[in-house]
Amino acid sequence: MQTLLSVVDLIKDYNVGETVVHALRGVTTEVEKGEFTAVAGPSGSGKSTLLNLIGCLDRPTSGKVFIKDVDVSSYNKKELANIRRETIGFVFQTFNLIPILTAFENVAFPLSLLRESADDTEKKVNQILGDVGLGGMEHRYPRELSGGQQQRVAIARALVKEPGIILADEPTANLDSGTGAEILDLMRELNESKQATFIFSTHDPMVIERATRVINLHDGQISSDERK
Amino acid sequence: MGFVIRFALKNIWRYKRRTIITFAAISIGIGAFVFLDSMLKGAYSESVRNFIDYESAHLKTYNREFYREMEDEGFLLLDEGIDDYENLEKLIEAENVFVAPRIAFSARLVNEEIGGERPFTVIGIDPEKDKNVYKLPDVVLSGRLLKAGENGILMGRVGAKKMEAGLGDTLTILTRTKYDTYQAISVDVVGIVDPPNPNVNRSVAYIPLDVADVDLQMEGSVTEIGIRAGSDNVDDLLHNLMNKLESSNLSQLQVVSWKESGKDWLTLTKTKTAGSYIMIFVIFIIAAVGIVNTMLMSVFERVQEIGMMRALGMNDREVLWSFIFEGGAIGFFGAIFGVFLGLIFNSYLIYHGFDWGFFGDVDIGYRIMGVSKGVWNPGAFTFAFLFSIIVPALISIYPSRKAIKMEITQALRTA
Repeated sequence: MQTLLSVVDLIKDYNVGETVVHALRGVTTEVEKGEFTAVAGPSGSGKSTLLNLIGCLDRPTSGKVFIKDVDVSSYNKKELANIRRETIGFVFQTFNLIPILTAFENVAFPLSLLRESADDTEKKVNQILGDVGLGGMEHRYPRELSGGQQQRVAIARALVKEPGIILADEPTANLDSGTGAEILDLMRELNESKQATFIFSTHDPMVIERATRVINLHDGQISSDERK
Repeated sequence: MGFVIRFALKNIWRYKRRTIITFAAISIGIGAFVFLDSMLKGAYSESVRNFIDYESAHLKTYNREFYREMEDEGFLLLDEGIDDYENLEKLIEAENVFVAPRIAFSARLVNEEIGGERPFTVIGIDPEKDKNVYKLPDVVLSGRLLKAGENGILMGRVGAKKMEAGLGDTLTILTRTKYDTYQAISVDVVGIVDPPNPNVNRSVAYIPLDVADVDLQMEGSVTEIGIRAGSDNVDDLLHNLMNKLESSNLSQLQVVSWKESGKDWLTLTKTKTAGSYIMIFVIFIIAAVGIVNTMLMSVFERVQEIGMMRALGMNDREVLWSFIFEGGAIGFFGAIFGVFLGLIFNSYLIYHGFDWGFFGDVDIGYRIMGVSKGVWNPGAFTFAFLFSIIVPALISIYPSRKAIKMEITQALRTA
């Protein structure tokens, strides 16, 4: 298997007033292409912090983040934006769709940032919307979609540019269990069919059950790392 | 960048009500600015025209002493007039201009029938020459113009109304002669004129020059010679005439342009105009505050969304430009509608004019009575249009910079 990303001795401290919070205390791991990984652990264990650092949304206090063997931990803001634009897809807990854009336009948004041609954009967006089961709903606005449908749009948006890594921060937290299961099945299916690498942060047993690898965090350190 | 522009345009309509209010503020601001600018510029040029046509002519020649006393003390000293004015007229006419000799004096007009009495400036005019320089013949309301040698008086509409005098009524002019002796001149009202210059309309009356000459014992002298230039270059004419007087040993005389004669009210008018522009500026500030509010709300309500867009790879520059375009576009559409409003308001001013009679008989500083027309001022349209686009665009920079300074992770957590 090919290593897609790795983190080495990752430390992240936050200053909260005069107190220093040690969110991550020397995390080292690597993720291979095509893995369907859950980062689990109780609240405050450092799951979201780890995802933020992997997703280049934040910079570590120390340690390194390698994406495709490139050390991005010393990148400036613009370089980090470029990495996110090209290499990483995000699925958020609250979907975070742009309300004034249709499903089609929301999914097309990352392609616009990559300056894809209109023809390519149309082809890719229609394809991915079909893949996530939203064919025929291209022109609906987020307010006209259910929570599950909105999360499908968000997944399509994360996948449309075919990024190496898709990071999902508690993707089922705002969905009922039935819809959550459907979304997970969809992501698993896309993981297999497109060889997309998914990394979730979660404490939902249903997500953990479906993951092919579970990294457990506790107090900012990896307490277990299990491949199924 | 094309996407950023399209996205900005879509965002304008995200908060329709707020956008419409901002559009309205910009549009009304521009419309009001164009309207007021047109009205003020129109009023100014109309005032200048009325001042020249009914009061100052383009130039006037005075005895220096007469002019100094008139300016400093407000006295019209008949013994400081221009002697042998007919030769002077010939000298001036050689410049291809029209001239009109006048005798201006202070008097009290008495209407014995009603027992009313009011101060007036009475001017002796040469009925034939005066019409070449001044425009009284254009504004005869009733009756007729003066004829030489008659004991007649021509009055402004407002002055006559205040004196309760009508055509055919007899009035008495109480004044002093050149030799400071009292004189009472009995005259009949032969005509009422309605000049658009309020000073003239309210407190100036006219009698024939030859009657004034005899009754005031002027012995062939006049107090002033009004000059209407054939061309617009009054300053050159002034310069030529001054040189001519100097070389003809007439240095006791001086030539005064309408700008010099009207310097007091011109200054006052400019001050009033500046005050009006301050008022307009306040209107713009109010519109700008509306825009600031819209843009601040627009950015701060979308902090999480901005965080998401940055997470997806939109860089700071693109976020910044997206809001600059959004602000600029609100301004642009507001400006288009504002210019349209300005065109409508201004067309009304240009074709129908503004009726200053709205202010009643109050002196508002302009030499205007009745209606003054507006003017087309492309500069005002251009300024208002550009201001309305540039200001919202610049205003958008502050909140969007604040939003992009926020950490993405923090922005994503913002509810």
